[in-house]
Amino acid sequence: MLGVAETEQLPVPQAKAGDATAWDTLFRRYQLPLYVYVFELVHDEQASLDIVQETFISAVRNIGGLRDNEKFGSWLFGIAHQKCVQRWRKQSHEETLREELADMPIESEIGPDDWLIREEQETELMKLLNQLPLPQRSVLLLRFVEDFSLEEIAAITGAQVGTVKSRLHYAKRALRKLWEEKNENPA
Amino acid sequence: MKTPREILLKRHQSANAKLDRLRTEVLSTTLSHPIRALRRDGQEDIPLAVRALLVVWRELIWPCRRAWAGMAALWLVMWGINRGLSDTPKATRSAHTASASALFQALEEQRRLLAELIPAVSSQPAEPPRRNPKPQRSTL
Repeated sequence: MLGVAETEQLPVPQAKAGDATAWDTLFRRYQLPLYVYVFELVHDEQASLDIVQETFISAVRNIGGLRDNEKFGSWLFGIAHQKCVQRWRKQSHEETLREELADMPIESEIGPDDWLIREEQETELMKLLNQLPLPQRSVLLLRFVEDFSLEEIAAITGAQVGTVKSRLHYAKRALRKLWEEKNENPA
Repeated sequence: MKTPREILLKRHQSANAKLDRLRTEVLSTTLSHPIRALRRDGQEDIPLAVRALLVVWRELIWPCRRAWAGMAALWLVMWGINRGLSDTPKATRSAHTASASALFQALEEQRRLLAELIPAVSSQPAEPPRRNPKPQRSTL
């Protein structure tokens, strides 16, 4: 399945050549999804803006290191993810990141479009999403926001594909369970 | 009905104005960097050596500036220690040199004296050994 980023032609070669307009197009395309991903992980507006800014600066400086132009989106999210990890480390939350989950095969590949949510349930979904542990929330957000493949999510988060699979599996199961509990016992 | 992507993007739509400002700021600062500007403007103005130095500075030195500074400090300390240690042998060596030159000078002096004496001795005929007259006792 192609990710959201891969369905469109992006001016990555022009950006590599230093074309400011190409960079503007790329950043305009990714600024909001990137911000959403970072914000849903760190829950701090200023910190999220700082991380997005640092990610953009780092991207301009290190674009030469991007081998596959098609992977620009996952490469950019990878930089942002590393910035988030650095921030968590600073806050001594490293133990949360080190959560290791057993390698379990995913039951079925569910794309973001398979999750259709009614308007009145949106807030509930966001609340439940925030209850998930960081590694699970991270993979689920990457799946939801940009529909990245398992391999791309693995590259972004620096985890094994099997780990990403199991995190995604547990995240979806946990979300479903929380959802069902919420519906069974509405407050 | 909406997808999670639509929900998430809609939820943070208000951040777009700030992100627009941020993007403009980043582009104006990073792409106006001399190296980047060079790439766009044909790289004509600055000589190749200066350009290479700038690239080395920006890519190699500046990102690891703390490590480089640490290595420089370590090198300075080692240089200082090395210099401190090499002072003593130098003094000893100079003292040795001074005493050797004095010795050499004394030797030369002796050789010269010997050269003066030897011809003088060889030119004089050998005298028969004389008996020293016994000192006469004076009788009072």
